[in-house]
Formats: sequence, structure tokens, C-alpha cells
Amino acid sequence: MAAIRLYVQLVSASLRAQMQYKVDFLVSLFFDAILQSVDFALLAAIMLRFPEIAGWTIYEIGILYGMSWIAMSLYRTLAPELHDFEAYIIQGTFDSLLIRPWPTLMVLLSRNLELRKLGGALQGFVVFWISTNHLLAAGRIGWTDVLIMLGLAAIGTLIAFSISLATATFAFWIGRSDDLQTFTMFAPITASQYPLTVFPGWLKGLLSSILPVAFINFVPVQYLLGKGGSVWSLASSPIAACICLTVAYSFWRYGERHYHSTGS
Amino acid sequence: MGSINAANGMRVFALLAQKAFRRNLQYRASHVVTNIASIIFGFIYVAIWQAATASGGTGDYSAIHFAQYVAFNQSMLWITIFRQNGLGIPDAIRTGAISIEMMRPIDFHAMSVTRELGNVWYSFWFRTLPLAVVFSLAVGVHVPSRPETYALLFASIILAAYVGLCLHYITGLSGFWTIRSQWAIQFLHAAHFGLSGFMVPVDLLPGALAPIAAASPFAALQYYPARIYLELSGAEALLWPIFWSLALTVICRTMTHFARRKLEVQGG
Repeated sequence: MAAIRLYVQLVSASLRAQMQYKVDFLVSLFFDAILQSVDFALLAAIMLRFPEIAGWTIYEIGILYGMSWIAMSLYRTLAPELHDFEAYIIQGTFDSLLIRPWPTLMVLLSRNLELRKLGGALQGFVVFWISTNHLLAAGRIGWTDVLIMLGLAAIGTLIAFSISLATATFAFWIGRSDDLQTFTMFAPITASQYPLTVFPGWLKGLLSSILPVAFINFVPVQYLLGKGGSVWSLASSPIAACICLTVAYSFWRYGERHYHSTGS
Repeated sequence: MGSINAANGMRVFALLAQKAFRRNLQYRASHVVTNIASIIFGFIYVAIWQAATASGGTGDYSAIHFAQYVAFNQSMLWITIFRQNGLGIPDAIRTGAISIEMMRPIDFHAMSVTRELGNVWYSFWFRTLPLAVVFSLAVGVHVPSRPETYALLFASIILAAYVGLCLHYITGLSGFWTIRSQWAIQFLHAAHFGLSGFMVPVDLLPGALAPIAAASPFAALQYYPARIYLELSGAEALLWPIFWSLALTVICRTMTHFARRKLEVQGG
């Protein structure tokens, strides 16, 4: 489709521009990776003293952590303008997207790729790799499981993206969405680094329905590690992603139609 | 710059703080969202600790202590580390407004800090207290059994807020010498995440990390006040916060002096 070709062109242009400063990019990437890994450092600090959380060992939780970070970082890399969307509404620059003969979302997504956010994916992948190697050596999982998990992490990006899209849509009405992101993205993603079973019922329900981060990693991985669930747990992830994308995108289109500009 | 005399100076500072407080009041509705987010984070951390300590606590801490420790820190975050990034200095540097800010006939450091004090006062009443109430309904309140705890707690909270202000000021001012200001702020938050003990008590950190964190200014923000609150430490928990309050103040004043020199040299 013409829109996709245009998206690819715009994104390549953006990437080439960023790559003009190769050293800056690489340093940013590694610096980001190190900073984000403090998250895992804390997790490791806990698990060094307490070998198990709700029956999950550090390597099993490491898989959850890695998948969560990969999904989150890929989404942050591909859609930074969604994360900071309220600026478009507050400053009225969203209008300049509306007048173009392209879907606004496509233009928004092609604006800027924050490659340095891949640092988060990098440290997530390192934790994931170390964890899976330990479990492989212990015979708990096989290589196909590892590939499935990586695929699920990529699908998880779509779930994170959908949540962010729905959150950004609120800006059409209340003019602000960045604060909402703390509530809909950061808190759930932090929770998804740990086994869902530790949380109280209401939180488990929230993280499996409105903010369905449970389907990014916990539900399928629970089955792959033999801790519960069925084969359907694996299918739940892509199904959840499709539902989320559909709902979020419909909500976005609805919000667009009801958008009242600043009136300049 | 000393062109404002003492009486006038105090009035100006008080006014700055008051205006900042009033400005925050306008956004009360949107602050509800971030308060809810804080509550959820608190519950997440409490749940994690409950699961981890299911077979018993460790060190000085019982299971209840962990929950109250986390709850106390989540409430405290809003008066310690959740400040306007770098006290607004990185933005001022980026837009060039820093030259005007520094040109004012008022002590720049004092101005930046007192301006933010309005935010701190607002955060205390509209964030820390409501959060503390909600958490106390869930995990209970540790009622101090010794009367001196109240005084120690008051002092440690004041010191924590002050150290937080200094750290943000230093981070913001470092923008004069760095190329990318985002790193400094990210580094500040990462250091706080790892060293302040807001989730994992500092004495439970592995190996050499425990003493390093305990001696860092970040521990003064969360760990020491929480220890005093839970009555696991006494007045000795004020030693490092007092040290860092003084040391960081010296660093702030010195950096301001050099930043002003740099500004004048560059003709800003």
C-alpha cells in the first residue's frame, strides 16, 4: 500500500539523519542500556536474599523481565511521538497532521524513531539470554520455547503500543495524556516484570483486561515453564494483541473525529 | 549579587514559594491521576515483598515492616525526588532564558530552591499525605513507641527534602558543562532507584553495594527517614543526611559561582 511505502521512506530518512552522529548514537544506546538495567539490579538484589518469589526463581523471572523490556523498548523506539502525544494537542501541531492526505497515525509514527531506546531492549535481551541459557542447561525448556518467547515479546510490542495509543487518545478530550502514561504504561510494565500471581485479585484482573500486559509475558511463559495454563495460553498473546490493536485504533479514530482544535 | 537587602530578600523568596504553591493548585485534578499511579506502584512493591518474604523476613525487617517501609517511601517520593527536573534549569539553559534568570538581582541558587519549595509544600499536602492515608488503610501505620521518634522523623523528612532539592539543582546546573542534559536527569533517577533504598532497604543490598549506598546522598532521601519511622534506627540515622545537606550546599554554591562565570565568558 502507498501509505506503507511512504512510512518506510520517512522512517529511513529519519534513521539516516540520526545515523549522521554514529558515536553519539552508540554512546546513547549503551548509556541508556546501563541506566535501564538498574531495574534488574534491584530485582537481582531481592532474589539474592529470597531465592523464590511465588515459586518463581530468578531465571524464570529473568525471562519475564527480558520479554517485558524487549516489548516495551521496541514500542518506545517505534512510537515515541505517541508517548509524548499531549504536546501535539497542547501546541496545536496535530492540525498539521490532519491536513495531510495520509492517516494521521502513520505520519505520527514516521516522525521520529528513538533508536537509543533500543538500549532498553538490549539489556532486556541480555537478561533474557542469560536466564534462558540457565533454564536450557537445566533442561526446563527447549530451543523452540526460546524462539517462541522471542516471538511473543515482539507481539507484546503491539500490546504495549495499543495501550499507549488508547492512552494518547485521551488527549483529544482532556488535552493531557503524558501523566496518564505513568498509570497505564509504567506501572503495568513494572508489574509485568514479576509473576502475576503475587498481586492482589483486583490488580491481577486489571493487568489481564484493561491494561493487558499479562499477555505479553506471564500467561504464555507460565505454560512454557510448566507452571499452569494450557496450549491456549500461547495463543492468548497474539489474540490479545489483535483485540487490543483493533480496540485502540477504533478509539483513536473516534477521538480524531471528535477533536476540537485550539482554533487558530 | 547583594542588591536586595535582607528583609526584602525574605519577602521575595516567600512570594516565589507562594506563587509556586498556587500554580500547583490549578492542576489538582490532573494530579489525581499520578497519585493513583503512585498508589498502584506502592501495591505492586508491597505485593512483591509479601511474596518474597512468605517464608519469613530478613535482617531487622518483619513482613509488616516491608509493607510499611514501601508505603512510607512511596509517599515520600513526592517530596524527595519527584521535583521539576533539575529545578527547571535544563529547560532554561536550552531556551537561553538562563542568562536572564542569572541576571536577576537575587541569589540564583536561593531563588531556584525557594521557588521549588512551593512545589514541595504542595506535594506534601496534596500528594504525600493523601497517599499516606490510602496506604495506611491497606498496610497500617507504624505508631512510634518512643516520643523522640517524632522529632527525629520531622528532622529527617526536612533533611530529605533539602537533599533532594540540592541533588536536582546540581543535576540541572551540570547542563552548563554537558552536551546532553537528558543523561544527567536520567542518571539522577537511576542512582536514586538503585541507591536510595526506596524499594529494597539499603542494608539488604548485596556485597559492597550496601555500605556505598548507605553513605550516598540518595539514602538520605528514603532509607534513613524510613528507618527512623519504623524505629529501626535512632538519631544515628541523621548523621549522613546532615553531612550531605552541608556538603551538597557547598557544592551547589560553588557550582553556581562557576556557572555564572561560564555564562559571563560566553557572553550569554
